[in-house]
Amino acid sequence: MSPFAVTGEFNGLAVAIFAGVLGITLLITRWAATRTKTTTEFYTAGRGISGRKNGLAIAGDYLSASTFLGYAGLMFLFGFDGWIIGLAACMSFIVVLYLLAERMRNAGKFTLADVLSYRLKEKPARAAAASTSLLVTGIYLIAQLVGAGALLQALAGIDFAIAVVICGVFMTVYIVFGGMLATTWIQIIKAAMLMIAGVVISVWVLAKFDFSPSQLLDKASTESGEGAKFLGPGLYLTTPALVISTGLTIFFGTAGLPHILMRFFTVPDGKAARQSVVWTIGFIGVFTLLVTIIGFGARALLVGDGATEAVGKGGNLAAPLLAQFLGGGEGSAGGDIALALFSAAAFATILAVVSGLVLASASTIAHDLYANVVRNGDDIDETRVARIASVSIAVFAMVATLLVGSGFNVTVLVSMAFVFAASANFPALLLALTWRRFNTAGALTGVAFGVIASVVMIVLSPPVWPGPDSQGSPSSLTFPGLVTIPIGFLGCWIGTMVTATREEKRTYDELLVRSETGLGSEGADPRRAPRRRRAAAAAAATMLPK
Amino acid sequence: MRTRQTGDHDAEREREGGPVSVSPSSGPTTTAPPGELAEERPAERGHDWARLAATPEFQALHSSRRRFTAVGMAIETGALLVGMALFGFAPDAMGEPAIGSITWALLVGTVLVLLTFVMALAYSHKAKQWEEMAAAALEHAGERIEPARRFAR
Repeated sequence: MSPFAVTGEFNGLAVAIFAGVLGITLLITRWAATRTKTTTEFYTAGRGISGRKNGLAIAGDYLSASTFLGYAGLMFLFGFDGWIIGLAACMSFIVVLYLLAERMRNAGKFTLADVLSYRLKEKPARAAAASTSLLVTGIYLIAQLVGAGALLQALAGIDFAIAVVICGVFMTVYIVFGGMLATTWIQIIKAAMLMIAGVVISVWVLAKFDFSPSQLLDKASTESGEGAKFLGPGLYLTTPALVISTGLTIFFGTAGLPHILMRFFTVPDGKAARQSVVWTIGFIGVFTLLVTIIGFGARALLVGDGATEAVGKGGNLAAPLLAQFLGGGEGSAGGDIALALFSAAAFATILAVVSGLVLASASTIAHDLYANVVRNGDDIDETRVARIASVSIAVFAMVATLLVGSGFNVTVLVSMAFVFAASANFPALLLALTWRRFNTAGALTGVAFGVIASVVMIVLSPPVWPGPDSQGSPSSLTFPGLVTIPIGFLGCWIGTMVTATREEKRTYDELLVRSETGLGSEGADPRRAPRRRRAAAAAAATMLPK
Repeated sequence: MRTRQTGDHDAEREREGGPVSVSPSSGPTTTAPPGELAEERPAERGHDWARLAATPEFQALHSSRRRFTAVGMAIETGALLVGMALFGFAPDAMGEPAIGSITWALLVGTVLVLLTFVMALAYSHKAKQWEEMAAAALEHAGERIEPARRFAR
């Protein structure tokens, strides 16, 4: 029997710890439900999350199961190349910080479409932005659920369909009852769990090699069978165009992910939005460095018959199996406990990320499409609509996930989400905020160009192009941002230049002043403001001239 | 056509039983011929946005932000492209050991992460200056962000 044969067997301890995690998240949801009454509280937790907490929550949003387990797994399989995507993702938050964070918070209300349509003709611009937002979050949600089902099946022996339904039901409960506040706290707790798990495993791995990175790397390259090539690029991303395109897609794609951008509306002001991203970069940067130790550590330590088979084709089980190995290996109490704890962290990760995605989708349907496009901004109970939308999205996502099944290639779905975000959302959003002449036609054309280019390039790429191993696919780019992002910008430019209207020009000043000073921005609920800011505001208020 | 944008936050608060925030300014209203504007946002009529945007103080803030952002984005994007180009075009050289068994590729990757930390801290430091510039621009134009507005119910 293989010493790594954990996959698919029922793991009672892991299931018990999962139940504990679910219990804690339900308690958080119950607490959050008492503080989630208004629309602002439902969508944005009353705009009362502090910068540091929001930074941890954003890091949690980014550290999905595919990130957390996928990067380490890719490093186990392909060495250094597995780290490149993580590197680009870490760097991508500079785009968010420099170009979007404060501007989004100052100019927007609940959604990405609020900002994009701020100075444009609202209905068409909002509908376009909402459509691409739904596309991105929908694809990402299905990718996460497919990954979740497969992972829980492998780690705890829970059937794929049951695992998907468990995740679907709980994410719906969090959103419907606890809104953004519940989601945020679940993200915070999960991100903290992941950071602690990452640090503990990394230190443990280094201790096995007398804290010598060189010893660790030597052993990893020897065990890989690739020798020194394992520690350099070229085993996974095999052409220069593929490396650059993958890096660019992730770099700009993060700045178009609705569930990440929505988090900037949960803080009191632009300053807190900025602080959020700085904290996020701190957390993710540290995690990115830790992943190298975990990935190479798995390669160095998980040796013997069946190691590679146990880790799986995508390498997703490298980190959990490493935890089990460090705890004493399969069959030992320490190994089982370590695996169960690590699996619980992965489970919490899945639940937190999918609930964030459901909330982003629900807000797009309720706030953008229903309240502002279908009902023309009439007074409606938006929270009720958002709750109904949450249930509908969850049911749709669960059914879609069960239909595509556990064998579906999650990488295709994740790359699609990033490509659409980078090529359709990001160009239009950036130009709406920064280019005075940009207009509604430019936004619509840019979004259309971005979506069409993305669809065409994804169909032409190896994971989708039909044929054995897609050999001979017209494009080698799995992440085709190198082609599609410029096309998205080109569409924005063409649409703007061929339809020179004055309609948007006047309100650009509004957007500019508001986004750069915070004048007129949405206020936060005083009861929800971070304590320090509440005190500072009270002190400042007493000093104002009467 | 009336749209439900930022200004309707007050209406929402009123419905929810909370006090309504007061617009901090009573400056002149910018008007435009009917049909020329994409949207009207009632709560923002109190600010003369065009006048605010034209003040030297705001222009200085905007220029400073634009300059810093352009340079910062050029550095970070350039670093990403150089890094990816090195990984893509020179995989063999990048796979050579640089310090012990640590390869040039791992070293370049670590430098990119550290650069990201530095760029984030640099922005954070510069943004404090922009906050002062923004406050000065608003004060000069007779505008102010009320502390209560930040935490408006």
